[in-house]
Amino acid sequence: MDKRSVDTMLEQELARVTAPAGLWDRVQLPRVERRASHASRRLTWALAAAGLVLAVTGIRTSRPPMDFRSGSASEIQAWVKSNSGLDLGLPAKPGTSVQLLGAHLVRGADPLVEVAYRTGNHDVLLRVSRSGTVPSEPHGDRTASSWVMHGQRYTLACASPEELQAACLLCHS
Amino acid sequence: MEGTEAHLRLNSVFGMVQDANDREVIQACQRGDADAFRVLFEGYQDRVYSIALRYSGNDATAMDIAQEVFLKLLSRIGEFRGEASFESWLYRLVVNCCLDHQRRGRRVAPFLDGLLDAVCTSAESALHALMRAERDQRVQDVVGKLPPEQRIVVVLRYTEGLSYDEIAEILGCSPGTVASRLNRAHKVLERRLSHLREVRGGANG
Repeated sequence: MDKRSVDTMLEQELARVTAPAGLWDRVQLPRVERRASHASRRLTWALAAAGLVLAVTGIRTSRPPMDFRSGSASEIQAWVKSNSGLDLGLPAKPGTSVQLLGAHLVRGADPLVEVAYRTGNHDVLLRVSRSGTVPSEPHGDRTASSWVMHGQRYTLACASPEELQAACLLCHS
Repeated sequence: MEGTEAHLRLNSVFGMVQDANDREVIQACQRGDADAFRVLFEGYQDRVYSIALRYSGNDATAMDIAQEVFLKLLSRIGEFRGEASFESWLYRLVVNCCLDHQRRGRRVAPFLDGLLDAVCTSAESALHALMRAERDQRVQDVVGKLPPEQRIVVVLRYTEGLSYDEIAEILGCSPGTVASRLNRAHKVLERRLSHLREVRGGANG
């Protein structure tokens, strides 16, 4: 069979055909289903988001299990240093409205420490790690503030934006 | 869309814009105009379905591919910027859907389809049924056995009648590559179709 015959045969046998009438219905149906599922998906997402906010708030405000309980800044610093190698850099005498509670060592490949304290009626967590070793809290988050200093990442977390300012009293009273 | 009023409206849109490549239709689609999308669908459904059918060799698979193409078209029409022609952009969408479909393993080779049909036909002898199935599938079978990159070139060339340059633009390769693939496909087809013609002659005679 020569090239010309193949050409002719291909032109005949592979010619364009008419699409079946049901194609439009098949294009339409998923769109309707998709619209319905989008609505229910939005509700699901809203519920999930609400749950997440509650969960995050709960995690942030609930005190972590304490590995070391102490109200002394120097004792907490020494314990953290010996168990994680991190230097907290806490002031020797925090403000009078600050009550240190203790520290929790988060087990993992890289050292991460959470220091719990109260200022007024607010529970606060100060999370310290080597910079770049853990996912950072988003800057500008109204209930968290993060910064890097002397090669360490510090993150303050509390339950509400108002408490964040009070949380700073640990070092800035 | 149902009823006479809707039909008239559709016809009005059709009359207003006969050429689906018209920028107004595409822009209307981009704004979410359902009637404009229907115009686009009507204008291109045969091309899309034909490419899918000739590439897959199977009606059901072709419907799946065509459906996927139009749903993708609907969701991605906003990405069309008019830098290339709309036809080329759509053809690229079809080609990608065909290739994706095959990669996902959703397609049974046409030859195997025919074989399964033949085996399932209890009234005929297996050999006769196999020969009949092979005759029925004819060129489509042989095309279906080509490697995907050759097959899509053959389909775009013979189903759509596109030039080497147009195919090259759609596939993102050079016209020389298109010519080379088509040449290789031709050699395979010449050999296999000759054999097929003998089988057909034997079966008929």
